[in-house]
Amino acid sequence: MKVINFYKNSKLNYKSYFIRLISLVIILVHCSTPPLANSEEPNLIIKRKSVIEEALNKTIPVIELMDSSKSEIAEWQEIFLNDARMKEYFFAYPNDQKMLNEIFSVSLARTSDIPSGLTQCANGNCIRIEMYNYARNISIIGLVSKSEKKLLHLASYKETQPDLPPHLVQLANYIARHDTSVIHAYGENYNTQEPLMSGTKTALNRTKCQRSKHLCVSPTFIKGSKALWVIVDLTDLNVAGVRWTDVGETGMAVTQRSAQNDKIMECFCDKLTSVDKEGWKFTYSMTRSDGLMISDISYKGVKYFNQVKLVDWHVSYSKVEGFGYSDAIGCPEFSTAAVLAIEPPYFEAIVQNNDTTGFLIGQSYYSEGWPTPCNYNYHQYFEFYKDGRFRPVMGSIGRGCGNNGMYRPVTRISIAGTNTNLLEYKNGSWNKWTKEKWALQSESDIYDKDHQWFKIERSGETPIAILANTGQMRDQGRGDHAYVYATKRHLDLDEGESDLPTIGPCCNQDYHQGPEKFINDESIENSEIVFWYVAQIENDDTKGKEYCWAESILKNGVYVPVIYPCYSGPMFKPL
Amino acid sequence: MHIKLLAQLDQCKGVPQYMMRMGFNPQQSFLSSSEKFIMGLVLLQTEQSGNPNSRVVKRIQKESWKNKGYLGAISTDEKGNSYVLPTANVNMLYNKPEFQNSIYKLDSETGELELFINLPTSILPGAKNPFGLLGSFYDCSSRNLIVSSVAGSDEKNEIGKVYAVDVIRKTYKILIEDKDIYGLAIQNIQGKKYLFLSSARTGDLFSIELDQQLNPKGKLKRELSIQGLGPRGDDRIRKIRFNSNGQMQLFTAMFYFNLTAPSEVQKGTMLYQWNSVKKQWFLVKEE
Repeated sequence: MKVINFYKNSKLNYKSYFIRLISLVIILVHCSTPPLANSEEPNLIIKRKSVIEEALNKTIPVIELMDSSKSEIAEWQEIFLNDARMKEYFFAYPNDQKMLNEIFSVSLARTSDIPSGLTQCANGNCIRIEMYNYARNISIIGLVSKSEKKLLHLASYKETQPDLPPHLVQLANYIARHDTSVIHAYGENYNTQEPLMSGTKTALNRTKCQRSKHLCVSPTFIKGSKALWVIVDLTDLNVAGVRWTDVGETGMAVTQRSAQNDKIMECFCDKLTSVDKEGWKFTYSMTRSDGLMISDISYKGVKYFNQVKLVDWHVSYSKVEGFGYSDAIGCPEFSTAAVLAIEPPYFEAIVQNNDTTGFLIGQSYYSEGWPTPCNYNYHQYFEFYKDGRFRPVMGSIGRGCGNNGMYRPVTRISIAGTNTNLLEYKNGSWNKWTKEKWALQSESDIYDKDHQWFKIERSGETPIAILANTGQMRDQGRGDHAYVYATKRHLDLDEGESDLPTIGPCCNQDYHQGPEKFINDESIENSEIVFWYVAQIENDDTKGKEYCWAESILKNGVYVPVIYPCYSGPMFKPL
Repeated sequence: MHIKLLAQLDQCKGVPQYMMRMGFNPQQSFLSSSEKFIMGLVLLQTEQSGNPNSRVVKRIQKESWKNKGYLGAISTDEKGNSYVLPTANVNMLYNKPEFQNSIYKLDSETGELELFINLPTSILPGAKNPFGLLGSFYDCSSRNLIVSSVAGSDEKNEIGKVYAVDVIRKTYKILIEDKDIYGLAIQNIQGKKYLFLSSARTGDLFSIELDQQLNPKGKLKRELSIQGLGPRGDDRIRKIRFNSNGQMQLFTAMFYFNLTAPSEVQKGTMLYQWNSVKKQWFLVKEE
């Protein structure tokens, strides 16, 4: 089981902001007191965490507003919090686990705050209390009668946040000024700047954390003619994204979604990045519908593959015939992707038995609302080993529409070389595939040596074995039961070299997953070959055996996803 | 602009003849292109007249309503003919790019859905943008169907168009070029015709005056922006309608030119009122 945060973000350039801000900026920057040096500041995050812990240990899990100058504030909060109607905001269904809440303000109700007909609130008799529920991202507004000492009116508003109290403004500033991505983005003298507009809640600042549905604010730092927007997540107590904008230009505000999308669109969508690492050379880019594509892959000067990419995810559900989805993955905007790349690709070392054996490049995809039912999260990565092994890996992190789902990722692997042959190990010997065809991995298959199922022979090059995945890989996968296809690569026909639209329907149970469209009895002897790989992975929500699954749990008073990924993919090994 | 003297120009919907023949009560029935798990067009009859949210008691889908792929906006003329636009949903398996800029007509008499007109586009919808036609509005006074198309646009190139399609002569003309428009509505305001349009790329709402031949007069005027409003703050206005009080109803949705389809529908409604003193729209209510 792994608890993760998928909402991290990153910095970017962007244009926007109001012209009126310029004058405000000058005044505030000029008049503001320089902040204290880092070392002299209390660690507000640690303090905040202990406040949260304390609140969650109470019977009523609420961080109350402290104002020593007014004793009645505590009394009004007590009336508000002890009303029976408030219980649903404190304890989650069905286990009554505690949800984190905080009172943001306690103030005299203005006429405009009072619903018509609530005559008891006339003449300043009511106190308005604003509370925020961090778990469900809702605001709860109550009107307490001073004379009757009871809660007269209660309303809740989904996906809205009240204005921040001063201590949260201070906390947001603190998080912003101490975040490494902010320091990195701002450069020198980052700490002499006092952020602006930090007290403006994101809604008013036209900034929201739409994906995480967390409480976010955006302290803004000015540097010359640029403004650095820092999206601070006050639920997770971290920075959800940073982005430069031009001061003085009117435009769209920076939000979690816009910062994430813009980063992918500007830096990775259709943009080639070259990698030269540990003997491997390749380029990568994010496609519009085929996920992260790697191209021109070579190891120690020998080209292995022209291109490797994940063209489709087919998901079918066995309880309803024909029910499921064909999802493409890729760029978050201007694409045919249904499940979107929202964070940049990343590199990671592969460590086995305390040794670094290689590296991987990975990419996650997310559909809005995951991990709630019928939303998806996919993960792909490419493993590059120091000994020349290579593995494309495709994983689902649920949750999908049911516990009877079958995931079929369709991977296209274009093998380099014009004089290539493909051999299958069957019935104790290696047999050449002379024509385009397909095969299904079976539990009764017997492989050569270390799961060698296929072998790629190229003129003048070391052969490459394709190892079947029966669950022996390092990712705790349970085996692929894969369909494989070999088709001839045509340079004059586009059979998937460019972005492939959805290649097949969701719910075929047999080899009709899309690549068979390119099989038409052509010879593949001594030619260029495209190898297609369609793993078949069944999900499971049985307790203790979860696979391709995700759920939300309450942790520290807020919902976090718990994931049970299922990974698939063959290994390519030079012999 | 004085919104008091307005009249929304699509209030002439005729009763489709096929409804009664199929045993449906027109008062309680409506066409839908957005039923969960159903591709194409569906005719539904509900329990209560005028309340599409009441319990559905009957539904039917003719063969010709199923095979056009996923469908979107529907506008109905005075004879009960409906004009239906294609859309894209999750993937493009059932919507061919060459038909994403096509208008289908559901004939009031026969009840069959057939291709009505194919609007040309220099770049076909594809990997960078699967969408073609997006918004529609039937102008009763001129018997024109106003439609918007974003076919061929991408993140760097905005080449969308607004067309007026004469449904009698089956001809079309371009009203607006190089603008990606989502929702549309025509209003008569003090005897003048105004076309209201919303951007498919931002939260902006525009207007432009039209002459009686539907030719634009002047330039697009930015009326308002819904940027920052609503739970998400980055919705686009997908549909514009005016109520009898002169208030403008904006139906909003998340739209980023992709095929994501979250299970929780990301849509909202905003109600605006014209302030004749300040000469601007102000938000009355959002849901």
